Amino acid sequence: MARIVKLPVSPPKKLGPKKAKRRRKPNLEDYGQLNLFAQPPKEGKVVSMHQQESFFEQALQLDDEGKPEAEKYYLLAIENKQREVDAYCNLGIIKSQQEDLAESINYLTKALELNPRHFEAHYNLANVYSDMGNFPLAKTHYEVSISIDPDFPDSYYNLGLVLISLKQYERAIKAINTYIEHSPESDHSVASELLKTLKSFAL
Amino acid sequence: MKDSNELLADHFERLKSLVPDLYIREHDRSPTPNTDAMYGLLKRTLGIVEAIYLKNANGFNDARMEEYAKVIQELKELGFEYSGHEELMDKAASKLLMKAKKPMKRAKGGTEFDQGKSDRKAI
Repeated sequence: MARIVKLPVSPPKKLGPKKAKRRRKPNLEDYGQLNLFAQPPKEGKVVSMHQQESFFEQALQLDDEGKPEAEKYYLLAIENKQREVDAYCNLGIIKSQQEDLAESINYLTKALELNPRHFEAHYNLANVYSDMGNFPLAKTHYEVSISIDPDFPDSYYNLGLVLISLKQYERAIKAINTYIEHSPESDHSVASELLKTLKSFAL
Repeated sequence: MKDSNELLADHFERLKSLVPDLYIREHDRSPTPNTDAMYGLLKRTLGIVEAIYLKNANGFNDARMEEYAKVIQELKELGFEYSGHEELMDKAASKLLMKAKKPMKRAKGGTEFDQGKSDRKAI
């Protein structure tokens, strides 16, 4: 008669998803290693990796510091097609500070050639034209800059001064009033004095 | 070589030493028989300045205009009446006025859109 032999079978393991369990951290020193990371340093120092700045950013920083090398870096930015419009615009400012107004206009108009609605280029060009005493052109560029960015208060103030020079007192009053509406209260005193004088002219 | 502005400034300094009565404040001034003569001399000097301007307006730079306007202003403060050359006064006033204008604004490098590079062809 056949004998039924019972094979030693271990109960099958439960298959299915496995939960992630928190394991006890092994003590490295038990394995003959130094436990270097057991105590994290009290003050962690974040070291940023060196990032390659663009020529434009370097120029901007040098310009902020009033360093003459800024001009060279703006030109390098243009050469490398980095923020060409802004670089031309800022070169225009540098040239105006050097009282080279013709070159300043050259750079600012180059900026406008690339972006005809570049706010800063129009505003700065208007400033250069007012320095030159060309008030009709200054007025036009202030007006264009206002149409691009109507919230920038300085455009209204400078437009007001140009309108005074053009003896358009009522329009100047309007521009100075708009400047007051858009600017912080701390800047109102001079503008208010100017308004008083203007009103006596206009009447 | 001296700058033309410095020369003009020197000229007015010499004028001040030549006609001190005109340059003291009105309330300090004691009437002297020479005051009118000195005033006449100063008017003639200003007339020369105006003639130079009329001859070559472009060569008359901002500093000269300002100096001219200041002399006339000082004359008024001293109690004298001198209206000056209208065009020159207007230009000088504009120059002085525009000195008070708000400064330039640097472009800080906005987005590519600001740079006008965002235009893409529709495919």
